[in-house]
Amino acid sequence: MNKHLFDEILMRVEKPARYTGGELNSIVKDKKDVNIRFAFAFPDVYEVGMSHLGMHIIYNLLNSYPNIWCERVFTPWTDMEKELRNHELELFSLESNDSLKVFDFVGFTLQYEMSYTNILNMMQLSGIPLESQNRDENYPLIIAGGPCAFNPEPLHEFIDIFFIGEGEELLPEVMSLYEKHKKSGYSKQAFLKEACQVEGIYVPSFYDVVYDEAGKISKRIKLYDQAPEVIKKRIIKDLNKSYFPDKIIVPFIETVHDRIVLEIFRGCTRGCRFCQAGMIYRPVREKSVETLLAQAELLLDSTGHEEISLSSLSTGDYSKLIELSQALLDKYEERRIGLSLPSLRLDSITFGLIERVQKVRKSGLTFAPEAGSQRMRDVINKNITEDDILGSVKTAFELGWSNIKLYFMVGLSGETRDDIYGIKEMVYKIKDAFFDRPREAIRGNFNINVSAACFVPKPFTPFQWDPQNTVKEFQDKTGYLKREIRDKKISFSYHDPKLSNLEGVFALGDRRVARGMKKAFEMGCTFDGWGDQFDYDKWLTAFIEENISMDFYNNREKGYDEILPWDFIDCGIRKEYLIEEKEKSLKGITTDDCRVNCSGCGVNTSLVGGPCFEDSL
Amino acid sequence: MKIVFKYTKLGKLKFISHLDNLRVLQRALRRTGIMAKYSEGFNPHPKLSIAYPLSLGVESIGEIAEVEVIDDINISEFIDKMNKCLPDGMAITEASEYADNRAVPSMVCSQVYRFTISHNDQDSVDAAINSLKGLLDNDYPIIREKKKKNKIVKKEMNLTSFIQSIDLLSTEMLDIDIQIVIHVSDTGSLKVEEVKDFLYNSLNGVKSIEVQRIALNFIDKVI
Repeated sequence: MNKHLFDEILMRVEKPARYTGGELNSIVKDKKDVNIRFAFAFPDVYEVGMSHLGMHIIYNLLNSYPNIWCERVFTPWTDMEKELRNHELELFSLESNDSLKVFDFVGFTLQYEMSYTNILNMMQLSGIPLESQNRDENYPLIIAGGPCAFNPEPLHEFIDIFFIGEGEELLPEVMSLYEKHKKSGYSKQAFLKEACQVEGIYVPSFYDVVYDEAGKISKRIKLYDQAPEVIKKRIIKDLNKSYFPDKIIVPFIETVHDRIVLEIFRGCTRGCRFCQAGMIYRPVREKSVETLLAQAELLLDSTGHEEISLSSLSTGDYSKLIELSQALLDKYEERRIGLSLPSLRLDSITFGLIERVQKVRKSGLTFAPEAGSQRMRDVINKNITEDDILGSVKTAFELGWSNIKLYFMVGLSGETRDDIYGIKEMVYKIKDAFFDRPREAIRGNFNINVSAACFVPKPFTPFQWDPQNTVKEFQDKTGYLKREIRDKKISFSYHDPKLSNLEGVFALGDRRVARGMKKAFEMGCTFDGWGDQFDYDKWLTAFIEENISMDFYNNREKGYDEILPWDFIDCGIRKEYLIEEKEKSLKGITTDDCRVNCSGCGVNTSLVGGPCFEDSL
Repeated sequence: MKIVFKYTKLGKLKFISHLDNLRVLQRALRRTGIMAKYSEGFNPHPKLSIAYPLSLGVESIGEIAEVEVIDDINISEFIDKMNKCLPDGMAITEASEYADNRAVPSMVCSQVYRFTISHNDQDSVDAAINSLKGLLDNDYPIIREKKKKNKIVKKEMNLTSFIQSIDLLSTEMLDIDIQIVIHVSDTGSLKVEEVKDFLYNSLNGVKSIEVQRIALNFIDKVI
């Protein structure tokens, strides 16, 4: 690219360092030295993508192979997109500034459904045809993985290969297969045919889907007879032995999370019924304290970050949390390196820890009761009582906190007005707990931030058969709470029901919604996850024009016998288990934490080949 | 121990804002293992400050910053360690211990820039060289807009009163290099873009202008 023009453009756009590359620990190789060029594509802006741990793992993993050069590309913000289009420039990678078109692979990470149109936009901006069938050997292979790949069908037309499950071993396997093909004269079809034999790989073009008169799936047909019937997710058995980078890129500009992220375990044993992550990331696998301390040391030395964040689905459940946190504090307190512990369950021990953490860097406190009534918490298997929550906040207040955040969901299955009202009741009880103390004990400027998300039923959860609330129902509920919660000390916010509705369509959609997505993109929809860019009316128009009913996907109750679009994927959990859990939820019966009692989801036999963890049944 | 150091900000780094630049320096310092002193208060931060902000998009070979470290350190060791940890385009060229009580940023009195002006033809080059001396003879009003309580307040200033000197450094083909010294006072200073506009408007046949900050001047010796 012409350097003068590039400089001129950068001077006109917001946050130009989003597009310059050259950050510390970014990797530049000589094109002549590598056989495979891979563009890791994050379908959102730089600051969001650079905060994602998975990107850093994959980037460094691939670059650890001398024959592969992995580069990065993010969605250009609308100002940069305009500049690219006005100057007829193609979207480029940050390291070599080459167009995505010249790469062997462009790999998209699917973190949330509302980034799908950005994927289409990034392909189009690079001059890459959107549909897989229109891309021959002259174009890169478009691959995708991440949590949303567990229902890949809405993207089936656009993506050549989906990676189901964890990529640390799978990705290098596919890369070496590709290299073999490239050396002996690459043909896309021949490569895809061999790749689909690798466990965890899904090539959508090898299948077709037949629908009945009602529009439901009647069967899946294989178009290539050797393609597997069922796609089994891949996992890393021992996280202590799996690849982890010793240095990560340090962005020049402020990102969403400017800190070291230590992933302390994968999976979760809680079994919350609304939570897709809790199901698809099973089984739980912890890293050892020694591994984590060693990784923290390497990353701190190579980045200069001043904060370590312990990350997992439920950090308080890490069996060596106290040991790890104390070791980190002992080592780094003096260097003023802070520790952040998200999603903690609070008790006396963890409070002692948090007090110590606060000495280095102050932070807020967040609780996620998810539902307002005990009945509803039992329905969703969020095994936490009002006493647990009130006890925790009281302790927090005594320790001097005066600001807390509370997360709830509305639109959960079988929700009644009482359940919604329970949200208000709990919030007010917490407020009372703050002021119901001796006057001299009340310090600080009290404030509660209450946030309500609109529930989206997700694949591979016990609620996958449930209809999502309609936009109207969501609006009624959030409107009701907004009217009810009227207090200067309490601020209430909620997710846009329209956005959550569309998220439901793509979470639960089949192959046919791909047309609606493409239409909406052609009408100008991108960055749908950004409130100021989201245009719901355009989406409605696009789906009407393509003659696709949104309600069919997210507002319809499905039967246990219905073939769901993602049924061909085996995430390790038995469908019968999901049905059992759904039935228990209807009766308000809870399920124990896996650490207490194995609930028999099936992951131990299908993936682990034995008990999920030491001491388990 | 306080240390004042001079560093470069070249290449891609010119697109990094003042605040981000500060964080780049803080992180580099952390990587060296040299412990900075921290401020007191609710949100302690390392005592590291940059003498004067540099406009986004402008390179520099003469940035100045000051840092207070806990343990005394040999200056050349400080430079070596920092340079191993700074990103490409940023390097410390000079450093010294600073014993003065006055904060370095409060002592800036002028900024020195090199403007490389590319012309369309030789006649324009000759005309530019001839007119350089007279550029400051007349007032050149500029208008700045400021938002105050949702109202836009306009303020008129005379640009030439802020320019201390304009000197020809060199000529090469259709390019001329000039050095401009801009006064910094309590009432402020000029923005690079304003000076660029001034040059575009005052000279004929200008194709493009590249700018680099060369140095900062202080009321007393800081480095």
